[in-house]
Amino acid sequence: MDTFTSQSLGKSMISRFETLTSDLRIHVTFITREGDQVHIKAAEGDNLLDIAQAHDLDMEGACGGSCACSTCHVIVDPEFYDLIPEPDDDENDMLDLAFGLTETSRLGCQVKLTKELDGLRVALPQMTRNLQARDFEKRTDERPQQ
Amino acid sequence: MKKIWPCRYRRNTIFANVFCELRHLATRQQFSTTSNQAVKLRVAVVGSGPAGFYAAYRILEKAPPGIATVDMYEKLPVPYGLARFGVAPDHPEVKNCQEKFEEVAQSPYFTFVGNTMVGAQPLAVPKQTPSFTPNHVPLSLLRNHYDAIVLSYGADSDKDLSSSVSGLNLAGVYSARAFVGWYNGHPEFRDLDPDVLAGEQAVVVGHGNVALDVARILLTDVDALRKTDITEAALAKLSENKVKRVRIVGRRGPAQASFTNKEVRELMMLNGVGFIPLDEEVLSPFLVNSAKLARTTKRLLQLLQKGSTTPAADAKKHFSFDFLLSPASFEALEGSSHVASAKFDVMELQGDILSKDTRVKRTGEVSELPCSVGFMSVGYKTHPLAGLEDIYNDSANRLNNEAGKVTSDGMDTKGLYSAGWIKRGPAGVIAETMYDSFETAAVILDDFEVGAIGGRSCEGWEGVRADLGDKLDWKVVSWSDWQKIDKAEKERGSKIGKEREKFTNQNDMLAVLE
Repeated sequence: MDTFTSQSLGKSMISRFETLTSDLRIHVTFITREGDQVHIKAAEGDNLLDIAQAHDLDMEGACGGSCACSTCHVIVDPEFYDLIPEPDDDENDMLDLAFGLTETSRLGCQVKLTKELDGLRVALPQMTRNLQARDFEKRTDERPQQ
Repeated sequence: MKKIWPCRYRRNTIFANVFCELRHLATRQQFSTTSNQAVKLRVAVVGSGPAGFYAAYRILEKAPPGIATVDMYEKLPVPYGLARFGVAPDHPEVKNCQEKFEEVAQSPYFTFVGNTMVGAQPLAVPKQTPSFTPNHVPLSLLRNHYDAIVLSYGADSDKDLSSSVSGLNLAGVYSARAFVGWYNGHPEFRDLDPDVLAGEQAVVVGHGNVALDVARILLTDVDALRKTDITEAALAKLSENKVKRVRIVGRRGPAQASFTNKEVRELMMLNGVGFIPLDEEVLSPFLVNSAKLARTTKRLLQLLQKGSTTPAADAKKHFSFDFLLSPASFEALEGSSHVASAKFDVMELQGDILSKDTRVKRTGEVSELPCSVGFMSVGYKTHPLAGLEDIYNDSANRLNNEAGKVTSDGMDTKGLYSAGWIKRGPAGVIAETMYDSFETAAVILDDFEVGAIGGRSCEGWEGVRADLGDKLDWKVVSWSDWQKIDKAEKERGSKIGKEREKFTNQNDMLAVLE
């Protein structure tokens, strides 16, 4: 570090904790609620909630990833569902409450990436009946003139 | 557009947090002093529970930075509503949502207005208790100073069955809501002093998760609670708890029960507690139709069949689920005013045993259960704030609204929105409330986008404060004030090996700030 500025201090500290780019070997595709495909490279052992949030996808983890809610609910592409270790009782109990539960639903915080899951595709489910796709976009300040 | 906040670095390291703090420092202001020219949408949120906080979060996240501000009003000096006072002390991970709420509160566009109750006291709710005196600000004042008001103040009372159930005033009969509030340190219930010493037989009426929380707290080994944030007063009382047999009694059958499998499983796994197995005839319709069962019902059946980890024969404490019993009365012995038994009408299901909506009717039979202490856990009741009577729907137990936008035939409801239990009715876990608040936030931002609300150069809390003038004679608690109270609670707790020791009295909370 040249100068001990707060910026450079912050940056170098963060980079120590960021995963080395060469470790990001597993491809995951998230299908957003608007239908966009977001291709991400992540590391073995990363869970889908952390990955989604690190890439600014609209996935909430109300309980902080501790398997105590259902807000990180994802729908796994059936091709990959069986490659993930089965959910345990705790996860299944939370999935009971997930809106729009499917046969291949999982909690994102409980799905950890492995080499076998390279190419994994997951979809973000509808939150409720009423929320529209555009509700997930950031709004711009375009308003009619007063 | 690059967001300044919220912090997206989820790694829980000191360094990552410091980096975030440094970025936030650039924009942090204690109270919003954003110039009126920039702010076009001033939002008031009434109630600081999950509904209010998730609405605030979503509005601030989705609007362009600096365009919207949120002032959050809370009647107590402390925030979080049921996330602090409802969630059981042995469920700390459910309270992790508070981390998100803290993030929201760090926004320079967010202002916490604590110890300040919007609206006059609903008649049905006691005006004040020894431990809490509300400080009122009329809703009409808020309507002058905000473009949008999100009513997210939840439910303040129990569903009242006193017209059909007698004996509710006997000593030893409590509302489950009051019991939960008591062990969670809510000032309103500080003096409840539930009589768990009266005997071994507890009856909990209701088949929701609150009923299961009550049962679990009665049956859990009190030592398991010592490190949690349950109050010292509750620990002291529960240490002398004589309850050995809890009956969890519901009006309908297993497929109609509102409790969720997680909580049933927890009870089944309680150390040293045995489940009294269900009669064959209760389970057989489910076994016969197992292919048709919905996922949650199928899993519940498995739990009920499997029973408790500790076999009933080996256990010193027991619980049961009793179905198809509707409460008729609590009874005392001759000459006593303390409950000794509970009488129920025996019911039968009218129609599909497996359907959640199936109703019940009386068979004419009556069942009497021993009861040393009774808890009514039959649901909550909401009320309208003064001035909102026209938009309140008593039978639906919520405000009239469409997707969170308050509606009325007579009254002008421009700028009024709702979120959470006061919007949908008092049921649903935090996750559901979160999505519900997101829906309301979307509707608000929609209305703002088309010009239906906003752009009036409102002054928010500054305007309200100016209008109140001398009438503002109480200590308004800011977010940094709450942080001082929070710190004090944690310090008190750490001295006795607990996560925190809550203040249970409004004066004690405010004393920290002197």
